[in-house]
Amino acid sequence: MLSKKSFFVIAVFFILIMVVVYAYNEYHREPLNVEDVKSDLSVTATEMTQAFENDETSANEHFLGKIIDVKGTVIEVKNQGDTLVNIFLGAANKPGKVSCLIDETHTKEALKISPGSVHTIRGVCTGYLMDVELNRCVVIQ
Amino acid sequence: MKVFIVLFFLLASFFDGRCQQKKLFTKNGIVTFYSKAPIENIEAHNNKLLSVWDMATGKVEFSVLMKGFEFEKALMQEHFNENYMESDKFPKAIFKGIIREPVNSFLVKDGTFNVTVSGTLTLHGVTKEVNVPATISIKNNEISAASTFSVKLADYNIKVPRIVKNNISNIILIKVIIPSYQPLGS
Repeated sequence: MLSKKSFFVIAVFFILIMVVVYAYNEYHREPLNVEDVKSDLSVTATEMTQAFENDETSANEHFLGKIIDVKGTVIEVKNQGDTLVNIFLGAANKPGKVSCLIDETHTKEALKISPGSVHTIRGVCTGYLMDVELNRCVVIQ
Repeated sequence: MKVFIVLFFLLASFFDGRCQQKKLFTKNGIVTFYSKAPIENIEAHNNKLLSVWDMATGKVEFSVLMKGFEFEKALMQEHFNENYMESDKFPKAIFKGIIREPVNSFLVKDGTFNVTVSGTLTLHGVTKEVNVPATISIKNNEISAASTFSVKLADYNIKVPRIVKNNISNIILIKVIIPSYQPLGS
């Protein structure tokens, strides 16, 4: 039979181990792969660009940092080296675009996409410069 | 005679393609920052730096989205955005400046030129005057640029808690690379 003191020491030891394992895993946690999670929002490229063009502050509150599924016509596929592929989504004859920087592990599939086709891309919204910007993107449809 | 010389230079500049491109821009600049501290080194990069350069006036602007910085570890990225940069509140860093040297006269032939860009850097809601060394290169009519400079976190009211003072440097090294400027409107 364990004494109260021994039980306490063993309990503290296990708690300490759990804390160390949790801290180690947290410290080494890799950035999220958006393919493995559900999106926070689904919008069209036109809705998203209009929201930022009309009121950037309010659009930031709504979209910034969120995982978003954006549907739109592929305007351009830009390949800047082997690991940097940008797909621009928009609507034909409209100026606003959503610039989707494809996750490095998904560039091969992305390069098969042709302008003019309609796709849904999932990514993390980082804000608005000349276009609406999405990072770590994956083509999901 | 003087009139002919002036006319000659005016015509030469008119027919020089580069002079017709009064404003240049890129959406694909690269910003990398480095923090070297006793416990760990931290590095993050952002491949979507926007820059517009008015060659007629020498004015240049750079904007970058704070949430666009990618880190090796998710926890670092979360702390950077939530605790230090407060990226929801201050989503962009903006540099507005002017190139001191008469760059147009350099950029008539291939080469690399050292310049100084003076202006203001707005980061974490604080605007400070800065002078930044840079190089501008021209090769086969393509213009690229690069700069390396440091910022002190305290200058921009970015507070690092004591518990992580050995993890994060007080001075951050920033490298900016513009692989290629394009004429604005292309």
